[in-house]
Amino acid sequence: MKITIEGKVIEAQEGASVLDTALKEGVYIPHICKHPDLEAIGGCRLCTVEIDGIGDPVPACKTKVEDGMVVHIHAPKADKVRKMAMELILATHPADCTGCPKYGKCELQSLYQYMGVGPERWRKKSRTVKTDDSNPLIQHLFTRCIRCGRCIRACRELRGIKVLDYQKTSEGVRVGIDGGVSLREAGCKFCGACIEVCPTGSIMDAFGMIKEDRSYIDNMVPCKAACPAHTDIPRYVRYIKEGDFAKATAVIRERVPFPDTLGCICNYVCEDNCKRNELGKPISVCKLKRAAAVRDDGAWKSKVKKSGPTGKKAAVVGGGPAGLSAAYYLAKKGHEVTIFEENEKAGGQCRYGIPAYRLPEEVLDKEIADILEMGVRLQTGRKIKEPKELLEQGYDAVLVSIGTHKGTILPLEGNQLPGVLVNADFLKMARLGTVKNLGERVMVLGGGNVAYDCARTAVRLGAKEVHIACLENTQQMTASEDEIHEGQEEGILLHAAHSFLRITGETKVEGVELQKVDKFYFDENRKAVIELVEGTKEIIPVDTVIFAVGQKPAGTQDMGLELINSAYIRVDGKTTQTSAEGIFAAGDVVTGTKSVIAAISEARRSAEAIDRYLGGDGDISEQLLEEETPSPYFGQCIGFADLERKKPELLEADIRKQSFAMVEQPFTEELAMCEAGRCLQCDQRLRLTRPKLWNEYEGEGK
Amino acid sequence: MKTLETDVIVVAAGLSGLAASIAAAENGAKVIAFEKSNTTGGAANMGMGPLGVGSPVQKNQMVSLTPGEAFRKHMYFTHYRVDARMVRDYYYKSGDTIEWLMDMGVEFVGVQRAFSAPEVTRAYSDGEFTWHVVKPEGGGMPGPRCATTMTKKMTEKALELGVKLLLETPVTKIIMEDGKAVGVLAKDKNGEEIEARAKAVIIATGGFGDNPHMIKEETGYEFGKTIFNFAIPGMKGEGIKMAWEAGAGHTECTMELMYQLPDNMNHFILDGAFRQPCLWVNRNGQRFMPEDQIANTTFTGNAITVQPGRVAYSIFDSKLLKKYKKKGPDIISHVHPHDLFDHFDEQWEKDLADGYECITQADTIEELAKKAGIDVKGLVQQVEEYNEMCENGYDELFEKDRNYMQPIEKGPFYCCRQHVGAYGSLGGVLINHKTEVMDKDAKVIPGLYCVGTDACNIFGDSYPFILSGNTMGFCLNSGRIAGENAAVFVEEM
Amino acid sequence: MSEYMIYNLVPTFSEAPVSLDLFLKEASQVIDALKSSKADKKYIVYPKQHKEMTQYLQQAGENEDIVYLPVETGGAFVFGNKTAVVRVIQGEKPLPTGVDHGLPVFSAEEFAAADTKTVVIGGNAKKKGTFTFAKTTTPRAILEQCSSVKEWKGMYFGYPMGRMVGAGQLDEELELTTDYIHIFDETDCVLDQLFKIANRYSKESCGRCVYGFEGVTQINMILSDLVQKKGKTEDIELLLDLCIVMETQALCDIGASAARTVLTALQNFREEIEEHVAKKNCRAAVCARYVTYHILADLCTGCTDCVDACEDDAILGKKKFVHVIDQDECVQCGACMEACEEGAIVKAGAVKPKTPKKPVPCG
Repeated sequence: MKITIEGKVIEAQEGASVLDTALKEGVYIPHICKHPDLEAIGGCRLCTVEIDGIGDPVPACKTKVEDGMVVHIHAPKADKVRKMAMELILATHPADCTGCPKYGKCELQSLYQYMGVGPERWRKKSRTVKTDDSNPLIQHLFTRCIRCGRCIRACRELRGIKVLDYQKTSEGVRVGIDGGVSLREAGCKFCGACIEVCPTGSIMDAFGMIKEDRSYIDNMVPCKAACPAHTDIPRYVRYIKEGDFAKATAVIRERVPFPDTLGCICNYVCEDNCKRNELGKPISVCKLKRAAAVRDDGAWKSKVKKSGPTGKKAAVVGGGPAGLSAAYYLAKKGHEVTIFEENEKAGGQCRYGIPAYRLPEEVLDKEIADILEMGVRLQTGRKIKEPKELLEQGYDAVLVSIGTHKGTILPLEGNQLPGVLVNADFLKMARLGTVKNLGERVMVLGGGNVAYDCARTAVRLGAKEVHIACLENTQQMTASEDEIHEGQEEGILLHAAHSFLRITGETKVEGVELQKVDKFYFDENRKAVIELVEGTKEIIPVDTVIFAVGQKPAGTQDMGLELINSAYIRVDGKTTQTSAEGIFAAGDVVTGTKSVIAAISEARRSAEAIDRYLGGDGDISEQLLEEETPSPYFGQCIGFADLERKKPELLEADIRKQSFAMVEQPFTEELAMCEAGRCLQCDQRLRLTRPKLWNEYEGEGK
Repeated sequence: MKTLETDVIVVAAGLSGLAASIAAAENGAKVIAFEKSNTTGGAANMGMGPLGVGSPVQKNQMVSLTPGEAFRKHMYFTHYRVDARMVRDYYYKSGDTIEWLMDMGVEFVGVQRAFSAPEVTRAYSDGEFTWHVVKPEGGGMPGPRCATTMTKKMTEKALELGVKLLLETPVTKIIMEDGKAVGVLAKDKNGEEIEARAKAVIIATGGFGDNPHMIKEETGYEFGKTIFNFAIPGMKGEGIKMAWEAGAGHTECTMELMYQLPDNMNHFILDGAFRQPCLWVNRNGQRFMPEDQIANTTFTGNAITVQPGRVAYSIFDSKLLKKYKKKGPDIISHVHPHDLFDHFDEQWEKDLADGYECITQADTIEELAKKAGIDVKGLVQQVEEYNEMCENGYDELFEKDRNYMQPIEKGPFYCCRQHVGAYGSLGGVLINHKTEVMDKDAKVIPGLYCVGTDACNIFGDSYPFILSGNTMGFCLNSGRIAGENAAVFVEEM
Repeated sequence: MSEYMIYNLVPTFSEAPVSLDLFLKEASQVIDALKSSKADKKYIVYPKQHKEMTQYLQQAGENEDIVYLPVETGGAFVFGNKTAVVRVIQGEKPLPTGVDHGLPVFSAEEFAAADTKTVVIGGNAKKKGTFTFAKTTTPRAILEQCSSVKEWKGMYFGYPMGRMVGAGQLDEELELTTDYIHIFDETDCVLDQLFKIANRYSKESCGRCVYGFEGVTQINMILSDLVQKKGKTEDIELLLDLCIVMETQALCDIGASAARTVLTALQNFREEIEEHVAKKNCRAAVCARYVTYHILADLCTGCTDCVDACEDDAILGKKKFVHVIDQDECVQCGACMEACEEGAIVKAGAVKPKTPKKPVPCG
């Protein structure tokens, strides 16, 4: 059907409102209580129009189109109704916009600018309501409320959470929570829809939640933003909640080729950025990833696209997570890729630096097999001294991703004695089963996760007494809480805030001398300052000392590439290309020891750059699952904010000490779904339509 | 990364940015304006109108002030410590700028002055009729925010002239090549980077009123402690920082002082109710200025900032309160509701119950002083002296207008602590009278202009309320000057 | 056949529980009729705190076919709006979503399809209480039944009618839809009454629409100023301007009814209301701010009783001196008049008695 608005003939959909029809066609009609995603109520009267044949002006949002309808926006009666409505709104809205954090992002302000009317002929009085910043994540500044009811409709009808509603008070009607309880008590799901639809500064993100240096999208979904590979966490967590683990895995796989591996050993920075931290504990994202990956049915494989052969050859030196990932994406782009791996198996640190009780061989083998299936060739036992050779051999591009496999030994008296080991060698030997003469008592020096890996490995290798000593106190230690706790269960003796003075012994290690640390911090020049407590020296008798104080790349000095800090390869920040044309580098060998997820993310960037270098378009993005629009309806759940973080089952300490069997079991389906149900689904807020303001319309109706 | 190319880039589309965009486009330049909020007009949306001297509106109202006189008055007020060439060019252009706006469809209800001073101080503090108050759409009385109609008309004009307006797209850096400004880096809504190239860049980001760190660094005030300024969101001072980074000279930054209550939006009635010429004292209990001047927010803000703790206390008694309730306040401001005292009790009791820290009520002066943190002896003595002077009908200390000599004698007594506020920041970037940015050695940086609040170094230490409408006036005219000069620069290149 | 049917007993005016009374009179017949109706679900919505209803429910016990839904209020205007009542059965607050009268929501009278309307009459009626009239009637027919205490001035037909009727409309036929009628006589000030009515609307307003909520707020603030002698001449026009738009643009009939009340009041009593602004006079000497108190010199004995009674220290004078009221200080509370045993203190409207400027010796 056709209708005429302001003299313009417009094709209209049966059943649509006059307002929606006009806006869709780019004809602006002011409005504020109508939000694109919410039912019209016709309360604000700003969209008032005149329609030929109808006496009184009507709200365009509540008027359905009819064939041949003639609509006037700027006509005397409609103008009068609209302007008076705006005046009335402004008469009780605080005049002092300058103190309002919504300034410059406010729909009312934009409308006010458009209409240009003032409330001066009316009685002016703002209805003050005390600002409520006692709730997590959401701030209520209801003095600025104009009662458009958008938040209420979003909360009750769109989301079905039913927390916000109109409240009668002695100072008039306002938005609030029944019974005046906190959002938490009322069963708020902190989805943020109310904030998103609020046209004024009445409901806002709590102070500090919006970081200036992040984009809007990143602020809304901070977990995804924090993940180095930007895996779409809310999307896959939602599938897990629905029990669809295969789909969840496909979502993860769109960004990383190691879902199961990461599910076991990721350092999950996403969880630190989870908005649920404001309510208590974050979503157990990492463990949910594993829950999905172990139940994968491989359906995603049918969606994987591989380009035809390009005739270009790429070599990858080092088959760790970075090298494997890059190889995978390059192979998908049609390049012929060969990985040269020094060890007898691929996997890098995942295989040789992480104990099997955290990441079993089978998991890694399976995911590497998936990568090789893409046509990647793997040559093991091949050490490449100079990557240049490979270019000479006819490879068009080389990626160096050899990681950091050399453990650091501190300059300490006695550090050359037999019985002194370093983390990288020790863990590798443990994997290979070649550790000998460990003795009964072991001390690990260092306070990170790797120190725990070494200590807990030593326990499993039969050491009777295992110590960890580190400079940091328990708050400063970088080892995760879980590691410290599980280590303690396994009987590891922690000497936090202790300095190691020397290793004692004449011909072999006999002990380590420790002294208590009073203060340990970095001064303004980033120099470590250690203040010791007098008279607290003690010698702990041990047979073996393992250094776990960091790792470095091995063999980079001879590669003929420009280095930083004498061991790390210097690359161009944008292209990841090294000082040599055609030779790229990625992963720990560039960044220093980071995380597997960071290495994968760097490898992706490198793969993009190498593809472009080889003449491709550099687009390695993939869609392994069609976008589905999740239901905006959340439903009610009293106590949602207090739902406890679920934990997967652990083997008993006594049992796990006996072997390298996986310590932690994957979530059961039921627990995984339960845990995923705690997700706030922050991304759903982005699916709400942002109303277009007058200055975004062109032409007619402005 | 998206790339764009144009003649002139305007960084932020507030009042000065809009003026610059329009002026450049009118003079034949292709213009892209980047704005980080979703509205144009910036802080000007809050205002009522700009200064103009020698405009048709003034002539209609038989205001005979000439640009030359205004220039002299301005320089007298600032003791010649500001750029006279800039000031001169600004005032001489300002009347024409009003006509320029009228040609865009902006209407003015007339010219006003900020204050009408009490008789005794008239010679020093009367405002000139320079404030062109914008007429709201469809008529009606003008009030706070009415200048938004002007920003709308200017936005429409800019779009009509083909200015490309990129909303929610903040600029992050000025691209400098061979000592010249050649473009900017920006970020769009979704965080995607944009590299835009141009022959000239005009910075107009409106100062750093919303950047506590920068306020501390540049002016020494601590936001939320020693100053409670308008912190219009987004006024982060990026423009100033980008200009400095590009090599611009650094001028002294000031805060455009006034006074107000912390969280004043939620205590607006009290904010107005205590802006009365009752008894004002400092923390020692001593009067510090003739209270008949407190309508002059600039003077009062300045006076408070030199008191101990940078606070002052305004006090009235039950009798005075009753009078205010019955006959209305002694002073009615532009911004507060006229019927303040009809709602006083309601707000007062609510705020007392909520524990609003600025207010105190007590039955005796001693108790009031104790509760409010004023020196007890000092206040008691001051009230005694003051009441005696009221009895005699003459203020021996400051010659306050005798109509306001009303004793403080009947409890309960009401007290409200007043703090230093500010409309925003002023200045930072060194420019010449053509608004070209200069380096620390006063050498022009080719292609770089800075206008409006970021470059407003012509007020000296205080907002020149005697020539009211000056903030917007400078924004509009400096913007216009920059736009015109940039267009010429582009053409010459 | 409709899915549901609601029998609505919640009054619009708590002081006029018409539907509830009618129900309790013949409950068993109503229940039978309800049962035999064809709706899938049947509800009776009633005020939770109503004693007789609670007693009735205790005696009658549960009824399988009918859901009894108690609501927390003793009465509210929103219950005159069917869209609002429907929300109660959805577990939501009774907020109107529009003006749909086609919904299967019935008051007792609507359910019985009666051609009479029962109302409660209050105010300065000689006979107050419950009356039944023909559905279509005239104000005169009503006035003949209840009559007024003193000289009749006007009558107000409450929500949803929202009509102020003056002498000129006594014979105009109207359809009676309200539960409550208020009678004014000469001792009432129309402005004062209108302000009280507006106050009621302001408490009843649901807040969902601009004209309904902000419109009523403005009416209230303007009337408040008029009552308190702070009105401006343009206020009357402003009220008309607002209410004409508001009557058609409020989301539901509560706002419309409020606007209509003001419009009909101005139509019938404009002169009396306007006098407050133009002549600073309240005809009925009701609005306190238009009244001044004076002490008549010839009757004052200088006893200081009034001085003691004045909390605002507004009375000057000492023993044996004629007391004088400081009009600047006086808040028109009337306490002095009550305290004076001599009857020397009088209330005055526009015409004020001559009194000394300062206390002078008595006699």
